[in-house]
Amino acid sequence: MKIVLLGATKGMGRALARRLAERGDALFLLGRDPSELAAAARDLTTRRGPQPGSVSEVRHGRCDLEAPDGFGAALDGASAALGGLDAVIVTAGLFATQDRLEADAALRRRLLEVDFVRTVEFCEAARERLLAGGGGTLCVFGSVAGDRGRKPVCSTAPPRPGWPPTSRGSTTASTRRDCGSSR
Amino acid sequence: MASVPPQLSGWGRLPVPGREIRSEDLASVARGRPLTRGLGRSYGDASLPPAGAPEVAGSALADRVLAFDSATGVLRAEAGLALREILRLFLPRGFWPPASPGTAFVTLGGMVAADVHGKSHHRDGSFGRHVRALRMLLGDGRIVDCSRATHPDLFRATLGGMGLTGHILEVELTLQRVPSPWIVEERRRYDGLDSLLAALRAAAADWPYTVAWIDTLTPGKALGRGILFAGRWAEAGEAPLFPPPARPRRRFPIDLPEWCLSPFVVRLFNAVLFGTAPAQAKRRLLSPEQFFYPLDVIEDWNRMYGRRGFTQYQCVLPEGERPGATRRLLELMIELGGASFLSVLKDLGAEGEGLLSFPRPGVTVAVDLPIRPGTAALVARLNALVAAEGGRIYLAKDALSTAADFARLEPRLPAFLAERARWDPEGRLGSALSDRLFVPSGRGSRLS
Repeated sequence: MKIVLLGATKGMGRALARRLAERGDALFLLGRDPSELAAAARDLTTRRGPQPGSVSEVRHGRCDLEAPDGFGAALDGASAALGGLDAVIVTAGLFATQDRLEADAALRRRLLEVDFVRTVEFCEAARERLLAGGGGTLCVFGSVAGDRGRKPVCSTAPPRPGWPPTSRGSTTASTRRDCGSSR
Repeated sequence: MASVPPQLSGWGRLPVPGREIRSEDLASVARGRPLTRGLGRSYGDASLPPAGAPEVAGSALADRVLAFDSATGVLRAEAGLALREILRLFLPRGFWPPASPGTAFVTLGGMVAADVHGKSHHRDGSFGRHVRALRMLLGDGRIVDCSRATHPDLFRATLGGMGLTGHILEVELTLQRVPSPWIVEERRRYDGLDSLLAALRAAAADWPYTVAWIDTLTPGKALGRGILFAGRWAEAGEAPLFPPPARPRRRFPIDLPEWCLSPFVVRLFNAVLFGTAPAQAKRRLLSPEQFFYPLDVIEDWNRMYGRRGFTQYQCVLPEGERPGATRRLLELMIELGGASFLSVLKDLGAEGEGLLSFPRPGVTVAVDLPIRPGTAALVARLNALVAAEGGRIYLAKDALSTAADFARLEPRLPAFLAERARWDPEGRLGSALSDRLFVPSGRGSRLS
């Protein structure tokens, strides 16, 4: 598959990208920090090793959830590099603890903006491109850690409940994966 | 509800108050903290925080592969990359680390810090021999690269320096090429220590990997009887083309009650193990996992030693210069009743470069000791014998030795401490182990 990942330099995104790379999928990483992206791409390329018949090098480009004007260009660049898009996976987002959010209204607004509004906008840009290419899979990671009301995890803003609207999520102890497939 | 203060422990399950803070960005969590901990497989307090600074950095998430050259086998990676992951990624490509400890659940940083050794020590030396370069975060916050050419003093102090010279961020090492992903193993039992030691010496000439399991409970002529395992990589024509399938891991279900570790049960276990081993050399094909890491298949096998936990006593004795030293150690163990399921014996080769590295030429013996009221006294008696014989103890296993014991055992300690002071003059780095062993007044063990 030809897969774009936003936010795969750390955490669950990193773990998923490694599995996809070893499976032989063609990957393109999007994220904020060029040196982190380059290191992640090198890690994935080396882990995959030489695989006959597939693109072995993982490439990357800049995309910041706080800069929505760049969403379209970033996805177009990734699509051009991969020769099309089969899936877009979003694991990026802001994280803050309850005490920090209670103390800092600006941080609270920024987190809501990034984890909800900007994520939806990015998904819209991805959806348009997937449909234009005949369909694909859009996969957005969220978390229900906040729903459990456990300090210090944020309970005011469980990231992205109910998005995308076609969600077929499964809930586990700590995470929820919302996958909307338009194929 | 009163909150329970967080605790950290090593593989021996002896806890101290402490917390591990993990991040993919190891330098950011290590900065300002006294120690970095890998997967916590050292048995005692090497990975535990010093008094007064309860948070240690955890490296397990900092595990990116930074570069690999398939022409030379040179691998560079972040310090948290686990050995198990290195094997999974690189054995199918025909590469294997030349020195590997008895478990694959260790990190690159941990292997450097303990300068680990394995079944190939008589031929390939310890892990440090194959390390080319390190990137370190010093106690003062500087990041420096060191190698045999750049800051060689720091490099040598860090090999086997138990993480006390700086936080190890990146490791560059050379993997060796192997002809297949299978091991040819030959095993045979020997009826006493002399024949076993002679067989071990002879096997060293022909086999790259050797180790013996010995019975440390039976006195008299059968003292030190054991099973010798020798191994080598199967040649391409001798083994299937494909690597062996990964074995499912099983969890050790309970903390065993103490009667399971009574001398009677342990003696029975050893008798069965020894009795069922072949009297004539027998060969078989094994996966590297079965040969190198037989216990890794049982998750949490440390629960075998019950709730009170355990320690491992591992020393090396200069058997060449002091013939009979190994026998004298085993006799003392029997006299003191240090019952143990499996004791491991292995000949070690040349000394490495690490200022405080454990291996030196001789015979190493490793014995599991369940924690009982008299265990510290037992360790003190064993230390006295090892010091008198001119031997050493292995810090990755030790939990109960005292500063006074260690000073007697380690004439190299002042040189190590002087080098450490050069790189961490303000003494920002430390561990429960350095509190216990490096401070002459001796806080003693904080493990409870």
